[in-house]
Amino acid sequence: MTLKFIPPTSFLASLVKDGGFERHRPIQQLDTFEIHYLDLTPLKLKVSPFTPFLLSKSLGVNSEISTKDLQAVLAKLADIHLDPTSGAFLVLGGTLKNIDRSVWADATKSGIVILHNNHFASAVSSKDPKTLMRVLSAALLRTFGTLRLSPYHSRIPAVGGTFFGRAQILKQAFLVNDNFTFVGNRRIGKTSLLQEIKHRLMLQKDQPVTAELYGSRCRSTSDALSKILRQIDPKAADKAQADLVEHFPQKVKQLARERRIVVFIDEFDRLIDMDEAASHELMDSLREAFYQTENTRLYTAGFRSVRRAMQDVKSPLYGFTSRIVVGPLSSSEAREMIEAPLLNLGIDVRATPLSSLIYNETAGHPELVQICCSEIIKSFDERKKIPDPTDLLSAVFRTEDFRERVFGAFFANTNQHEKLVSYLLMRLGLEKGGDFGTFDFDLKDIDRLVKDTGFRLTVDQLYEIWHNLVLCGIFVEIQGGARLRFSVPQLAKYCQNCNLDFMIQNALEGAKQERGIWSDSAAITAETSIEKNDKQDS
Amino acid sequence: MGEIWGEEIQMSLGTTWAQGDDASEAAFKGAVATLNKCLGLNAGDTLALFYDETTEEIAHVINAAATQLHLLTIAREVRTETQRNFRHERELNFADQNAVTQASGILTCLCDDVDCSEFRKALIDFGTGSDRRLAHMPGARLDIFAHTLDVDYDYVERRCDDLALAMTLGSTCRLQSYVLNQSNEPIESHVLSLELGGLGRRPITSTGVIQRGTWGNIPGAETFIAPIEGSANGAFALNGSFANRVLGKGEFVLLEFADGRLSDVSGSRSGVADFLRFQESLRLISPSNHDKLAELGVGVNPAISELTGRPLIDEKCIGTAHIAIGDNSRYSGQIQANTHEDFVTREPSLWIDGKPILEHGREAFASATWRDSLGNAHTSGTLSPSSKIRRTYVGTQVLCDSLRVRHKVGPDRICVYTIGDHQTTRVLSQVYSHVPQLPNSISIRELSRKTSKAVETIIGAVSIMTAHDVVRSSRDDK
Repeated sequence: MTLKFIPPTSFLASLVKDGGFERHRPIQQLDTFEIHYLDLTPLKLKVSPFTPFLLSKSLGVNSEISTKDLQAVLAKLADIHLDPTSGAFLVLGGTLKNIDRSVWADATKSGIVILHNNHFASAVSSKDPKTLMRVLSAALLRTFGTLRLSPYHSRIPAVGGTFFGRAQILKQAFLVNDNFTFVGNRRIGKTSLLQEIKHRLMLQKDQPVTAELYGSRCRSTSDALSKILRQIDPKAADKAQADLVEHFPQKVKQLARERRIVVFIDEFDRLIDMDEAASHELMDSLREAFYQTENTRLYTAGFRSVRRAMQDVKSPLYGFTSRIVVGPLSSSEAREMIEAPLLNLGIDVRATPLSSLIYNETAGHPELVQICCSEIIKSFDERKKIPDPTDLLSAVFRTEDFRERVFGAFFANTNQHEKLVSYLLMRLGLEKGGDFGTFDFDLKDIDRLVKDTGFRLTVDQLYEIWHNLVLCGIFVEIQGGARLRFSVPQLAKYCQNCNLDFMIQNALEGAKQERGIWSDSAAITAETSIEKNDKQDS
Repeated sequence: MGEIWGEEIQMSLGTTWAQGDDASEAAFKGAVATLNKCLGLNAGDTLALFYDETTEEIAHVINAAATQLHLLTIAREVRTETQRNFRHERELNFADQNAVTQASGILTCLCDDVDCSEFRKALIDFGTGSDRRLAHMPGARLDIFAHTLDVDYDYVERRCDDLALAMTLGSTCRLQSYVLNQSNEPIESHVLSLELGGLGRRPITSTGVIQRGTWGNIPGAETFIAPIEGSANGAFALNGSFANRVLGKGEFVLLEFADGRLSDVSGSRSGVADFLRFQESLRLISPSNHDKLAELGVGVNPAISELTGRPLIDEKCIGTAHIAIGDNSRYSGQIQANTHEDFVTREPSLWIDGKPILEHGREAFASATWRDSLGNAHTSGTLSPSSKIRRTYVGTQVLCDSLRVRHKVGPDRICVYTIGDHQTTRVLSQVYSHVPQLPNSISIRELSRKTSKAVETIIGAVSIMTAHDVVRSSRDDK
């Protein structure tokens, strides 16, 4: 039988045209290979946007490839600098015949994914994007295994193939000509969002000049501005050190006449707090540089201080940037995050209740979803079957990682008044049966519980607590915003195990001392009430 | 497309609806029942109402009902042309999203054109969740509101509960349908066998009373399930209706299934000719999977006694059963298709695991054969006082006098049924409420102490709850 030879270039063309995989780099011609770079991030796996596909010139028309042929090609690959961690595809138009196992093992060791005629012939003729995706993901799986390709890594910012959801935000951030501030609680994915915007900008043909700044690493206004300037114009940064604050806006405007400038500032809260003591000189400078300046864009991310400054008419941040709230993922985004990568990893959970279950337990918090998905992959890797939903939840809830994230997010994002309200509601929920998946409440419930402790809060203050706890991701609004529920039911259960009464008492004491929006009268009332309670107790 | 608040809607829609007319009065009552009973809306709640130029009259009635109930109405008129063009948009516009987000109940009264289905699907996708209730009524008409919605929902819920229990636990199903003569007497019977999967597949209870965080068609009153793919074998005598076609006296279409796929169509000439034309249109829309059996359902709405050729109404008709072919992926099935079509048959008989559910359309569910009782619970020999009990992922509703399975099926549908008979369920509720949330567990001895019930009673209760997969046990060797 004569084997039909399929030119590897046809497969590559099909991946681009039918599969929608983009090229961000030109084709590279070497003596022995032609290298195509394809962006495999639509697979939603841990893969590169510049994955090399190597087409051997010596095996250009061979319909049958022997061990010897393959060994020769692989030997030549040693001359090319390839990153074994990101992987490279060797695409062969012919079919492999009785290849020694050792050759496969060597290729795998070097991170080479071999694709030959049999793998992609039917996919090329089908022109079906899903089939083409399956060909690539199956080949990657054969070489690297599920754990290595998993996109679920909660401790590093998610970019490219490991970034999920936020389609609306990205659309707005790219299409609307404005500066943006992403507001959301810690660990909700703001840094990933900034990184993803940068990543996408850098894939564009007209690449901008970018600068990144982390609020926590800046000591002063001139330190912050010089760090920005050093990235967008290193030479100018050295010269302008002396009167940087004064000249920074002009410098940015001048540079923007030549090239697009995009600046990313993370941990913006730190800068705002620092800048308030310096009479807003940093914000004034940034505003002058970026507000309605052609060819520039500023993306920032923060939480409480940012939110407060954006609402304060006296702050230079007021009206400077557009606010976009970054909350948990929606149910469809979470479903996409769970099902698509797992499917490409050979774990089809679409017909199981796992997606909706994970969403119910995590409320779409990306880190928690990642932990659940990692547990599915781990379990599948060990047992070669999809875990039972009950076993999965038991395993996830017992992990220190999940507990730490749920607890950590709660403690990091709430003030004492918000903690107090949360604990009081947890106690009420326990009294009502302890099913925090269905326990809900409204402003009146919060008011009553707070009053019972002796505090008197105004409606404004109650609403502030409500709003902050929703923004923190501790509560989720339901029924059109009329009522609330704990977004992650496990939080209450973890707190219950830590002696809720003690935590309530602790938060009460903390709330008395807390400053900010809370009036003295509220604290005094509380103090009086606590003293009264103490007397009654004694 | 426009947004109309409160009373403005009445002005903009003119005088097409006038209170006082009998039919309109009945429709008004139906609208009140829909908002109050089906959507659970009370004074002060916000309703998002979606309608188009084909349902303006209905929108007017609903708004009047909403006003009477002191609801805040956000009315969104989405012209059919806009709905048709929606497939290019892919997502709802800001005003539609905003209306949905602010509402605790959503009512979609849009046309039922297939071309507009993408918009309707998008509304359901976006609108369901965050504990909102969404009632879906494509092709809404005044007569539907007048005659099918103000019904005895207690009766409907009881029937749906019974059917859900049987369909959840049952493994095999035998649906016997009949060719009827001019006098509506059966002259020929045909059997379709299906596998239901035991606890592996859960049915949907669509009572018409929409549960929080879910959506449902109204009028409601059916329980249905996605049978195991490829398991349907035999024949189904279609003597009721399919899309836009009500079969007359003596008319029938015989649908034969082999390994889950529609394999042959025969029957009375006119019926078959119409059916084949219809089938061809399905094939064009969904070249693959349009002919796979996707659903088995039983209608229990006592207010619907006449078939109309509109499947969403007819499938709820009391005394009927229906099957569907096409997509079932939204409620835990594995068939993906661009179409889903229901075929309703009158006065069928139905057995699940050999036990009667319907006999010639009449209710035949025998509580004693299906409902667990502590008196004759099959206790597992592996349970001992030291056995540890924990909850499972299966959702429940713990009431003071009953324990119900309340489990989400797919992203936004629900299966609800009561475990145990009248007395047993009360005990189960008490015992279950003492089983801690995942991942914690409790021993049978401890449960006995906390509930003040004998260890044997707890073992019986745990055995019953285990059979419904709401708890699991593991032996504690310590």
